[in-house]
Amino acid sequence: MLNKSTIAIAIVTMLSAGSVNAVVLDGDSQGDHVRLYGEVGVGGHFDTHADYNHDEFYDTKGYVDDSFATMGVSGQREKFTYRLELDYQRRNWLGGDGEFELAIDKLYVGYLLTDQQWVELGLTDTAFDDYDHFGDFTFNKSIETGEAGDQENTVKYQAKFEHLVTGVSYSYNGEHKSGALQGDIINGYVGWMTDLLSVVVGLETRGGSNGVSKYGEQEQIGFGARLKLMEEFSIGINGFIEDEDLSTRKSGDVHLDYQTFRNQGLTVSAKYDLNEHWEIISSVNHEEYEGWDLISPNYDYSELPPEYGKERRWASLGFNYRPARDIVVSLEGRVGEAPEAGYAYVRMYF
Amino acid sequence: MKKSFLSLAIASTISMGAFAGVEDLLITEMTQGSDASVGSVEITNTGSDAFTFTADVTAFQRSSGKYDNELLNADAKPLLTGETLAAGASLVLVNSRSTEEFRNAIETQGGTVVISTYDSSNKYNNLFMTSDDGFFLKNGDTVIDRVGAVNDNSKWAPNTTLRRKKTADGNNPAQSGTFDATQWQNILPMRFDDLGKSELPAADAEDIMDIFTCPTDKSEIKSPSEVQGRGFTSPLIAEGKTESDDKVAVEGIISAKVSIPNEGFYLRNFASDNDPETSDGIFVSSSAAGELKVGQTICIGSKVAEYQGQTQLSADTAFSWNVTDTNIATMPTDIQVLSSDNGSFDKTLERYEGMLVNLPEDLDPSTPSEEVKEDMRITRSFSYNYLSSPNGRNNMVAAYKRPNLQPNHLHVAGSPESKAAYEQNNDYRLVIESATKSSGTELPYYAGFNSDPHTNYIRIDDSLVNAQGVISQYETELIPGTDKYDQDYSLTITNQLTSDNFIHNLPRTDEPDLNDTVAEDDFAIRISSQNLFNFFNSPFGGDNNNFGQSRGADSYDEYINQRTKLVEIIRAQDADVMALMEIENNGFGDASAIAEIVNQVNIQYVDERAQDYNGPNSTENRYVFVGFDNNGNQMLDNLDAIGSDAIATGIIYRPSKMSVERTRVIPMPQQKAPTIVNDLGEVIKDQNQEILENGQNYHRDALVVTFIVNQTGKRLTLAVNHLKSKGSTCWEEWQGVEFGNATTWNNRTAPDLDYQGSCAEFRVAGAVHLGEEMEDVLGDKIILGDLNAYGKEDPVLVLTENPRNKTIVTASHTFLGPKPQFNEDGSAAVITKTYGYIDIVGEKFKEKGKTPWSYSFSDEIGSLDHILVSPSLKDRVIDATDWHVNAAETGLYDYQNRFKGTIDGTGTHKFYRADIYRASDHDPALITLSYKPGDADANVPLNLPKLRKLIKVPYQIPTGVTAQVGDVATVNMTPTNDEERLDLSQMVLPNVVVSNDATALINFEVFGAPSAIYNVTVSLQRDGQIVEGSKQTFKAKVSSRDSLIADIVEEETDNTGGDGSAGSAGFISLLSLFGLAAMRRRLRK
Repeated sequence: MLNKSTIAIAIVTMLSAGSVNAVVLDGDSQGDHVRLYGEVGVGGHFDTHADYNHDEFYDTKGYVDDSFATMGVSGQREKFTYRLELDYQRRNWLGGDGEFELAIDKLYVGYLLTDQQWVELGLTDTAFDDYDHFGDFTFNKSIETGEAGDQENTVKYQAKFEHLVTGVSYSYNGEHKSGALQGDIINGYVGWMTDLLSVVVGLETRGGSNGVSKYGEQEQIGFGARLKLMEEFSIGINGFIEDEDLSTRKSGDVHLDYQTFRNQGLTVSAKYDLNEHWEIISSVNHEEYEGWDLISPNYDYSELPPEYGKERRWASLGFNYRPARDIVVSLEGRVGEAPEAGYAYVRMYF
Repeated sequence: MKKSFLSLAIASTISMGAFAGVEDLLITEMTQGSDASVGSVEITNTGSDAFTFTADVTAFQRSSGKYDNELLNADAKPLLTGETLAAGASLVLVNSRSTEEFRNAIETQGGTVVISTYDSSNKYNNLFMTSDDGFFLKNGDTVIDRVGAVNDNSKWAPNTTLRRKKTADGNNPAQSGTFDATQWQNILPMRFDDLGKSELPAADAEDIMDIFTCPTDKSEIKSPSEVQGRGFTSPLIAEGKTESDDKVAVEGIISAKVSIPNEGFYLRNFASDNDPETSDGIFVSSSAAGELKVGQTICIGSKVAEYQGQTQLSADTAFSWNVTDTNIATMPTDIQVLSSDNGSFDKTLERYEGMLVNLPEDLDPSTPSEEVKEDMRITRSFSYNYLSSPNGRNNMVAAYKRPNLQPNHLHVAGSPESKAAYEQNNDYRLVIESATKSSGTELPYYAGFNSDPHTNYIRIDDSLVNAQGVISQYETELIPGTDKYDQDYSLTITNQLTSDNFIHNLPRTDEPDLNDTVAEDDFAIRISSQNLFNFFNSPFGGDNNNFGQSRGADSYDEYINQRTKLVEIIRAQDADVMALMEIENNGFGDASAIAEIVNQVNIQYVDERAQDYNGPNSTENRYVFVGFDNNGNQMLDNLDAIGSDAIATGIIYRPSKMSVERTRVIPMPQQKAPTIVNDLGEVIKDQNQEILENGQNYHRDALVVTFIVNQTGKRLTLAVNHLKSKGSTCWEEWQGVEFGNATTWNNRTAPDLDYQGSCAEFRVAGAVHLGEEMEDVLGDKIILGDLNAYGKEDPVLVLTENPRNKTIVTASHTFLGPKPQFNEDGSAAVITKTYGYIDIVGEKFKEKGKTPWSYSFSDEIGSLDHILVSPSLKDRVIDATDWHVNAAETGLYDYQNRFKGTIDGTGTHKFYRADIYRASDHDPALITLSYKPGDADANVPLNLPKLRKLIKVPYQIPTGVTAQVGDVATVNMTPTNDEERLDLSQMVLPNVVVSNDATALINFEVFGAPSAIYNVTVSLQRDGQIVEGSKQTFKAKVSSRDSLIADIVEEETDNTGGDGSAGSAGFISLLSLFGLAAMRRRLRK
């Protein structure tokens, strides 16, 4: 399944680049088409920092490769749509092994209710996933909103009107990216988009695994906003508050004694377009997880406390360079309690 | 040349240095008395050259005519090595504790003082002259000079100065390896005015002996009562002094001669002065009374002294008194409490100090004696008193009216009531001594005990009546945190006692007095808590523990004896579930200590037939222990040790009565505080060279087991605890103590102002954590075990209630793993929350007008072993008790062979018997609970274990429905999960015809139901119709019983992790999240 950071990147890219390019394999004037699309990206994270690694990386070392490739086919016939997308990605998260794996990332069929409204069925992004980093301009991930991401067995409705955007999805027996059961997941968003100011609020709830995995019930609210101050300069704000029940004890294979942990995070970012090739992006970030808080009642005291304490703060400065269409070179440096010192990536889309 | 000559020559060459002038050394003076700090030896260089001591010339004390003890310095080298003595000069060896004043006087007189600095890691190398000692100098292996006869073990030099005399020709005497008393001038009492002066007295110098002559003028002679006076001190001693300025002549009759607590004899008035305010007797401290007999008349000349609270006379020698050889008997006087004593028993005893007395059956006849007889109660059984020399010995302690209760047992620690109780204990105490020192295995005054200790036992709370003896007073225990000692009165028994003198108010019983009578249809569950007194099996074939310690039996014989007694006491309690403390922490394998105990207990339970199920030896009584797979390797073995101590707690239970639902270990807080250092930052050590307090302290982890009581759906959770002991300190104890630059803190206990002992704050931290963790546990709860806290001490207040809002503070620097327990900076927290448990033993005893206690420490008793129940259980409690089977008894009866005298051919001492008494040092605490079949907690299915395929399904006929004879009760059972496709073909669902109008409970004997969870429907039918309101439906879990082989219990989900469906939260509630204020209320904590 797709690493969330890359989804974020993809979305940011889509939105900032204006449109996704694709190879049209077949098409007609009715709108029916088959398209092949994809991406190859090479790069990764430099000087990752063990003391500040929450669950970002499978290992902390001088360079953690995060190269990635995806290829998909999407199509439409009359009102029906479909999409199949394959990812070749690194298992780069805590507990992963950093090796490449091939995974089906999306597999759904859809139906266009109107030009502005559609539904999708299958393995796809949950609704909120499309906007969980709306106010975060950075190319690398910053504060991670812990929404559900891609899920199998999902029904999703989305709508995009002139200003109003909204969506809701239901996933049966949702899973964490690690494969652990999380229970049914419902999430959704509603937003208002204008050239000057755009705002999105997302919500999510899940049913919990009832002892099968460490994940219990969860409720979350996320929000994002963008304000275009000048033609070349935008600022964004993105954040979340989450109450997540996690198991604090295990007997045999059964997870027990779920307790509620409150987590929250906030990113303020800014983007400045120097010219059509260069843009500069900066962010300041704050996040706190109750599980990090040494004197919270539910702290897992079998583990040493994190170096950064009960909250992490860092800032970033980076740029994107587009030497040609469909090519992005990204560089970013971070200061503060960040899990990495730098990020470099080259991507090409087709 | 002959070889021997050669070797001689070489030897003399090598030791040449030591020969130069060594023949000029002479022992010229010696002082010694009862006080070692004024003992001294003077050595003079009579030669013409200065002499420097080499390692060859060594000084020895000849101790008590028996032992040659070489004097060493602090580096364990000969004391005198390196000392230089000028020609004609003297040096004086003095004891390490001699006063500055004493040393200065010697130096002023021209002597060089050599302090016996001694090496503390070795024994007996200080100069310690106490009336029966000698001294000699050695050169190489040869004794060159000596004072004191080699084998004289008598007190040959009481309060004596000996000075070496010149020979008749006026020369210095020659060295002599043997002692010739005629060469010495004998001065008594001793004088120090010549120490350090090298000039010797002439050969004809006469002895200076102080010989007393009784005055002829009778008016100059005092009686003992005149010396005693009416107050606590003698009127003959000036204010602010401890001794009279002058000697007085005192005449009386010897009423007793004893050697305990101090050697000497007791004088009484010829005739009573008939003043009850004055004692008519007085003690004369003397080691020279060997020839005196009881009944003789003595006129003694002595200063009057207040020594350790006692008014006394003293005599170093028989020269101090004149004897008239009368034989006048002394009748003992009954001790009687007077209203003028104002409730002070010390005042009562002071009136009898030095007298021969009797303990009557009623010390206070002024109160209505038919109702209450105020007598003396044993408050410490016969045991070692843990006092330092010379008072360390085995004895007993009695107290006026009642045994001494620990002050915090009934009164909040630190409260004025607690302090008053402490003062009263001090006031009521009377140490019971024998006239001669006991060997520790016999009572000189009780021949019946010595010949048959099992019949003629003495227990705590026995009344001691008609014991006769003399009343003394002496210093006993060091008051913690001070240099002061308690002063206690003692009775030295002079008559022979029999079992008639010991009235058992709490006689031995062979089973606990615990009611388990239940209403019809109900049944009782009995729970107990027993400390196993360090049961270790690892040296005897059991699994090793990970801590390399064995605190239990020292030999196989002891081990078998220990195990036998423990097995007996466990069987006698007949508990359905039992919490154990102080069992070896060697896991839960087949060779663990807990497995060994359970196997041995089960041996007796052999009757398998159903008709014997309620019998004493039924297999239904068999126990199994609860295993904890602490390392999570899915095996119960020796690697599952719990916590960081060599001892752990455990739980055993009867699978016939209950089933384990879940098990859990609660790791308890640890203290990780700074090490205690002095003002320079140096680590302070104690007298054993161990770090005084390193700041690292631990509790035993709590074992928590949730049972379902069989035939019910009632959860019952037991948390078994053994909190940090009172004995060794924590960081808190040393706060506020001024160490200065001291690097050692010898024999100094920490202050204990509220009598909670050490680590009270740390136990509070443990109690808080336990209370918090237990809050998440559903259903009825019991916290039990050895909390190392008396009934009204802080940890118990936290777990129960704190009605007086006492400020309760936790320890500092407590951690749960790496997590600070309270504050991130490690500071202590004030605890205002209490957890509402009920001290049920205390409550039940209060109803009975009794006081619970489970432990005896020093001469105070109280409960450290508690059963604290959640309020939800209160109505189920039938009875609760402490069973005084251990703590009331002397430790002589325990399994240990040390200090028990001769060990017979079976490896056993004479006090051992394979019975229950003194199986441990703690009494068990027990409780009985009442259950009705069919009782259930919400959402808990009835637990119906199968026995030979048969279950009993209980049907509680609802209130409001009256069964009638002839009604038919029916039961229907269907598995809740029909996917399991159970074979139900064997299941027999009987109908039961009601035969009694009063029937309230029906048990259906259902045969052949496979293990599963069932939906059960029961109802009453009358004339073919269901009786209205009689139909009941419930869930029941049919299962095999818990195995008699301990197994890992896999827990089932606790339903806190959601039900998998997000629909329940629903999108509507989700939408409500738009208002942040409406965020879901935090579920827990």
